Amino acid sequence: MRDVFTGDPVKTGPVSILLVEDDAACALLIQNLLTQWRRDAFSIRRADCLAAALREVVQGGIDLVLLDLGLPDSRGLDTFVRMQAAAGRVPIIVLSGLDDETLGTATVQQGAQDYIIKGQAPELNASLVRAIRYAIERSRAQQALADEHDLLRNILDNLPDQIYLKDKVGRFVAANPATLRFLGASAASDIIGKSDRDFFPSELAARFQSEELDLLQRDQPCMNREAALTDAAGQPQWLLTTKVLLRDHAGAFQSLLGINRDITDLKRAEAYREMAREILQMLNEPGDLPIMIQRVLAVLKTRTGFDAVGIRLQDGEDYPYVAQMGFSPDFLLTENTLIGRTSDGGVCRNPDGHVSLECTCGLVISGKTDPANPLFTRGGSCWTNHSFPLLDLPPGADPRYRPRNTCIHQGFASVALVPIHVKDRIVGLLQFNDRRTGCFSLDTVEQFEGIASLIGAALMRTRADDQLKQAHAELIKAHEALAAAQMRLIEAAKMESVGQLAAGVAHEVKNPLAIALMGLEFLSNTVATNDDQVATAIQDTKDALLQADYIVRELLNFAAPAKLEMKLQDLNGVVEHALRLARLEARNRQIAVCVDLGQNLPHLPLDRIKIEQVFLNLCMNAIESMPEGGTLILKTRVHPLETGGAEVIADVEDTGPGIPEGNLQKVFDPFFTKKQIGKGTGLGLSVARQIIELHGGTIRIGNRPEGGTRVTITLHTQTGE
Amino acid sequence: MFKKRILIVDDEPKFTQMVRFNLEKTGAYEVMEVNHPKQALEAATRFKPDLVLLDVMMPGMDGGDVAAQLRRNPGLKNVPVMFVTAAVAQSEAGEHGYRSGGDIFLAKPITLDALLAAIAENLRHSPPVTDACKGP
Repeated sequence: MRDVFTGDPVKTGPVSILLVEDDAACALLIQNLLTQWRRDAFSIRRADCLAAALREVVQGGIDLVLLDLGLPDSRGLDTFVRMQAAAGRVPIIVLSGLDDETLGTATVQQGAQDYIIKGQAPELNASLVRAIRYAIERSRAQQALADEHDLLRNILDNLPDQIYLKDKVGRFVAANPATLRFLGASAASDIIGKSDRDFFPSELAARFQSEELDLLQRDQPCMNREAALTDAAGQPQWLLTTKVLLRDHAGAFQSLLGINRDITDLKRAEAYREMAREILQMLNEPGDLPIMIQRVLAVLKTRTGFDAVGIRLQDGEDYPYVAQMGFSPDFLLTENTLIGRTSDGGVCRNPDGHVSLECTCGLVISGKTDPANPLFTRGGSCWTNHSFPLLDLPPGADPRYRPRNTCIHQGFASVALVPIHVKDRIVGLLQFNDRRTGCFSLDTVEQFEGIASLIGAALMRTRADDQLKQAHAELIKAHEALAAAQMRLIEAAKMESVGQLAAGVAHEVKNPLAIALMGLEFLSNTVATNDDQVATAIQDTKDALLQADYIVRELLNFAAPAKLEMKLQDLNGVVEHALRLARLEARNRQIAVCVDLGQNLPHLPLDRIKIEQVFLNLCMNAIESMPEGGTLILKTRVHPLETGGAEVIADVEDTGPGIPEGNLQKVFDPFFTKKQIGKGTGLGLSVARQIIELHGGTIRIGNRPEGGTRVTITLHTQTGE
Repeated sequence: MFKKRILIVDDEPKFTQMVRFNLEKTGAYEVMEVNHPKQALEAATRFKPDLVLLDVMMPGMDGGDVAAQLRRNPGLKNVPVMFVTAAVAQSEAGEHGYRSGGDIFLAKPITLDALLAAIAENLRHSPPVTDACKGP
């Protein structure tokens, strides 16, 4: 179906007309006129008084009212006013008499669509139909305009974007509610007539003004410009701004239209994505984990700009900060540990045996967060933009174990605690604190959860690396131990063959020595002894034979299987005894002896004879190394061990020339000697080392910084089993 | 005064000879040398020594076996035996030898003074041979 007048499509059938006319003849005339013009075009209802008409109008379904002003229950302008009040947007055409044109005009001024003077049929016919058509068209146009206006208003009121109009000098002319909210105004009147300088920092206001000048004077477009600013709560904000000029039909300036979009969340998300990328890259670089954690923390602090950032990681049963920035020393003093303590300092434990961790950090690390509670995320994080109401939680409603609330007391309104997982275990948390309110959103916290999972993965990787390194180190150690054992085995085999050789050689050498000695004795008793030279020759030969015998004996000592007869002894006593034997030699060689024996040495399990042999040997070596004289120094001291027991350390020092560095490694080799050929066997230090090692001790030799040699022997209260 | 009789058993003839020279030189001893251990018993039975100097490591029969043979003989069982050996270290043997199960060990090489002292010491402690030869 098409509109009866315009031919445009319409929804329903005939135009529904309420004819309000008390004169039955006149009413009939009008009805006839309309039905004759087109039979189905109109559906006409009639009311003969205002009261009936008002009832009809209120029921609805009326497209047009034809209203006679002179009715039995109402007359004149009042009739129109009352009908208009009831009809609302339904158009009204006033029917007036020839004598009443002034009244008709008045009704049009009040909102009537038209007025028609009731007269002869042909005139009435033409004017009535035209009037009805125009009235309905006008009404529809007004309706459409009103609807459009409502829609526009609705859009402007509900758009999250800020939309405003300004005049040529940058003063606000109109603004939607989003603009008012952003500027902190409660009504449009608070901003109309004001400019950006009244709301923004001068630098930013100047920038906005310059953009607007460019637009006004040079028609430079201002499209999608970003601006960073701070909102009323002090939070950073980003705006995306577009400004255009509105002109009238003639091209004259009407107003400047500005649209600001809040892209803070977008920018923050982008910044955090960038932060996550940076952290991921950092965590993937090879390096020491503690240093890496410090670097990650620095990035978190710088990129988020929050007042305090920390990373807690498991250390035994506690979760102290391994890195933090922005927390005060007194905060850390109490908050570094999360372990709940009893009044006597004992560790509080849950029924399951786990340590009870205190406050919100403890709750997050324990994994006991409730995802149904808006304080917590599905990822087990806890976050709030207004921490202070937590102080008012009644104990029964507080999910935390022993809340300390130090964060709140220190003024941190925004707090986010994000667990760090390694596989399905929580090993620590990321903490973000800020004194401003409203620092976080669920999105933000979920992004932090992503970063926490990166850290967790790095931790897992590092642990695997560490285990690998440890295994590798142990392997190397085992390999070294094996190599050392092999060396000892080779040495032992060498020594064994040397020993066997020595025993065989000794036997073969001792017999000729015995013959030679006996022969010499016989000669010395037989040959005339008044010849000094003969006597000297005999004595020298005898000495040489005995020297040879001494060497063979030393060789046998070295090769003899060692058996120790251990008894608890005072090392000082053993040292003093050895020194008694050495003192004579020292005195003969003009060598001073300086003794500094430690008090209260613990008794050691020692083979007295063998240890005495060692010290005597060391003293003799020291004396022989000082042909020009010097000082022989003996010191003993005790050194308690962390593992229990103690070690007793003895130094034998001389003030001689020392040993060339190249020879220091060789002095313990059998047959190494620094004495002239024929003056020593070289077995002394080798035997000494054998004896000390059989006691489970160590012997080291080195040059003293002040000159001379120092031999250090270390023996333990418990021999190494 | 009768000279004391010393039997020396050692597979090294030069050693037995040198010991004989030295002991005889003192004028106090009469010495018999034996260089084959298996001849030791027969030589001892005939020589009737007051003391036997016995090498330990000898080819065919060691000093211990020789000593056992001598002790099984009623006429010789109380004759003191001194082992003179290259197989023992002087530090173990000590200045005057060392005793093991009633035996005395001396280490080669040995000075004459030490040998004479040890012989004198052992002769003083041993019962007179004549008594031993009488038997029970």
